[in-house]
Amino acid sequence: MSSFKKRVPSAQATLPAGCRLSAYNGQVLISTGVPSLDDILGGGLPLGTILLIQEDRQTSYGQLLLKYFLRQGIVAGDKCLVVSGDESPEAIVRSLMGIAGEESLESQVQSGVDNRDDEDEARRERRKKAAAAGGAEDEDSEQDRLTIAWRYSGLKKFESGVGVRPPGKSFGAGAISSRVNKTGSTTEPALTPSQIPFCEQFDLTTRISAKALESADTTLVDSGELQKGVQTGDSDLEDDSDDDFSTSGSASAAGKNQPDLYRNVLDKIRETLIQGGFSTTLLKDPSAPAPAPGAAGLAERHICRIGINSIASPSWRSKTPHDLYKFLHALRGLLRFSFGAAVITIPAHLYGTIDQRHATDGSTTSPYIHRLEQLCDASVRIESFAGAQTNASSAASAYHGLFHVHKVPVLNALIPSSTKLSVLLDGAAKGSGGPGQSGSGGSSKGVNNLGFKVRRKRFAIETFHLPPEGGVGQRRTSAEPSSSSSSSLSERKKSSSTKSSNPGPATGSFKKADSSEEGSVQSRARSLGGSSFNKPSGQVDVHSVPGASGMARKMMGLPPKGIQGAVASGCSTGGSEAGHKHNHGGAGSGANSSLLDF
Amino acid sequence: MGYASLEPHLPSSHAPLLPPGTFLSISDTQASDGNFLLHHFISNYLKADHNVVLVGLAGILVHYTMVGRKLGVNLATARTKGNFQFVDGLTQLTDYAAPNKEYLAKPAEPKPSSTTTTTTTTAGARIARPAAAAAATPPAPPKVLSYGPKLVDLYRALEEIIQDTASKTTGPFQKQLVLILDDLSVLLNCGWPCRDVLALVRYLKLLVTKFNGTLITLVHADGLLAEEVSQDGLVKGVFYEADYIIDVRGLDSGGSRDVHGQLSLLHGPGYLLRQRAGQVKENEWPALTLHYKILDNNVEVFAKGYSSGVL
Repeated sequence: MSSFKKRVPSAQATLPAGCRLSAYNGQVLISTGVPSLDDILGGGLPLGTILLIQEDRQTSYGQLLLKYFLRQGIVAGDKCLVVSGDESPEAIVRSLMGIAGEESLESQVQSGVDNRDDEDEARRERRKKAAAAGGAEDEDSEQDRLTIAWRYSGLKKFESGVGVRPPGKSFGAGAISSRVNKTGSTTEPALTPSQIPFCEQFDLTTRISAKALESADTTLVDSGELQKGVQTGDSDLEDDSDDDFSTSGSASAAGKNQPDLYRNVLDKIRETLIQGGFSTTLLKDPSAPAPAPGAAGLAERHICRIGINSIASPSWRSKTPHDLYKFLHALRGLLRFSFGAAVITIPAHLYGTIDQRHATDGSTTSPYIHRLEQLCDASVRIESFAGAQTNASSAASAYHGLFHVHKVPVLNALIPSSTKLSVLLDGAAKGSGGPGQSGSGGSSKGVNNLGFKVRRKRFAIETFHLPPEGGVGQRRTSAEPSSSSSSSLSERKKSSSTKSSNPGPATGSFKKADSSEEGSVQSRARSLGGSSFNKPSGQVDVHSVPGASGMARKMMGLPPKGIQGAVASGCSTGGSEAGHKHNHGGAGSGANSSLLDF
Repeated sequence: MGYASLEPHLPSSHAPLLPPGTFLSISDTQASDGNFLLHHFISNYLKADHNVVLVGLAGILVHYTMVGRKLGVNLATARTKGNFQFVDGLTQLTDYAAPNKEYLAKPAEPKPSSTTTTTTTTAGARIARPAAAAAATPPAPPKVLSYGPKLVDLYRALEEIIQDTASKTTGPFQKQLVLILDDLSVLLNCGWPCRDVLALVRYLKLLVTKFNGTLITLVHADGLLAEEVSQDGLVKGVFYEADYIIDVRGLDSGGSRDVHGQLSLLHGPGYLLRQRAGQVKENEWPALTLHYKILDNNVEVFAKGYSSGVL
């Protein structure tokens, strides 16, 4: 009896604020401020690692992610070190977003206006769509029920994203209002470390409050200023750009007498880490006896978050192309032994032509950026539709862009923890759960296409799929009774006829079916050699009207996941429209992550 | 033991180990990391009670220790026994990182220089451990490769460590030694020219041969990087030196849940030379391509098309 003890969460208690342990390998994780990005990284960003974000062009979603990271650090009371050259770091910190629900205390929370989520927004939208569809359909449960593709209604609900809050930490409105009350009364946020949420929810329409800004522990490094200091010393404008083969001299001679920008930034980072006591090996005062690295001080430890904005942009001058490599290597060496993590954004599009290369394996870019990725622990790339040269945005208006994952952290294990834990990367966690998902082509290992959308209250990364082509209204008008059905379907006409405006309910109801369902029926009909097939209650004759197969192909935007294979085989003979080509390829290989080629 | 399903496909003359005096070059890509092969050899050599010198240019000791634990090897005890030497090539390798040295805790300073004495006294210290528990707890910190402008400095440091390790093995049976570099691309990225890195590899290859040893290196060989002259030169140059080559890359057809990638086992020029000279047994190492899948604490290697997802 005595040998069985209840496991008290002592390990949890000794963690620094805003941290948690990885469920896979016990790494200490911090949140990036974006739940779905945490999910991709395997629960959060492990301490001691570097996340490289390759920026989008013409938009600033990359910087937005960096801001989330810093803002979450301020919530948790972490040290934030901001390095920026193009934009002053102070401006970045000032423009951080506010916490959802906090600012709107007086006006809205008390008056009972619920603006917490955009779930209701989505529901409203759905309802509106339903109303536009002509049916006076109002009950939600009725709405969610599948009417035609009823075979699939027993399957698990397909989820394309992760929840706003990680499960287990559910903050209701009560928690928010209580926090609001506290912050109203006291100057300091009165949350104990265990109360600090791993990932807070932020509101992009508000700005960080002056109070929070005051209490934030930030160190700002303006690399532009550092640059000036560098330039006064030497005139490296006419510094010959060395070739790879002759850099042995510069690697050595770029020593003490020639300071350079990356070295200065690294010195600043090192200084911050040491002065703040974030490093476990490097000490402020080396001559003093080393303090015991016990777990006693762990609870009041804080994390140092290093955010570097637009590194290696043209304003970051460097002597040799190796400066940045060396910087990253040294930074990794520093961070591995520190309570810290870094998020670095880089305008990668300046270094390579993304558009002509991304087709092969989803990787970007120039060799230069690729070698940077080798030196970082995780790497993601953001590709926004607004900055895209192709007009893909019209096809996927629900998203703001694509999100590519190039590398996820592998620490202390053979496989990255996100293959085990991530929902978005379609790891084993969710993929094997439902029978519908496990049979979905077996494409895994981070080859899901991901897109992102920015709502007021969240930056959501979801699995990317195209909406049905044409939308609801267009499909209705062009739907012709091209195939007939008999008794087995007519018994379902009651539920479907509410939505159908066609005079013939039986034919109309079949036509109202999800186009991909029709495609699968046809493919089966084709595989049976055009013969009819029997159902228990009656007979369904599928006439392959010449126009119908083309119609089905046209209406098929991107079929639901479960029956993708059936659809692809059904219309593999066609493919006349260029717009559908990528669908078939994606179903076949399951690896092509680029949807922009069309 | 490392990965049981990989064993039959490795050179057979020395059972789970590589023949001494050879050089195995592993190349990988970003999407399919070849690190797991290094862990295979680390655990095999340690299990067989041979010497391992691991130069971690990209990872830290904790990482290898944790993975080693998953594979059933305790690197910490191997270190105190003197079988395993870890060389830290991360924290002070470049001139950027060199100032780290000044902030290191002073008491730790004398230890790295006198690793030989501390490890030789471990036998005595083990008896005295109950008395002096505090002194026994921290094993000596790993040796650090500190910045030198020339790669020759790194070579000297490694030479010293290897001689150190080899000198301690006094026993009836001759120990083998394996020197593992993880990974070579870091040296290139940190600004050393390609020909210097290749020279280092060649020197190290000769060095380990003297100590009945084997050299294993990892290098990144993404297709993208083939456009860079220096990177491409490194990969080709290393392959040219090698006896055995294992090329790790993803499947051409894309990712899969059941197959993480493919291993191409290839003969290097060194192997062919030895084969011509008749030093190699017939069918010692057939060159072929295999698929693999990485699990939590094992790696399954199987012939093409024989994955559990297919059968």
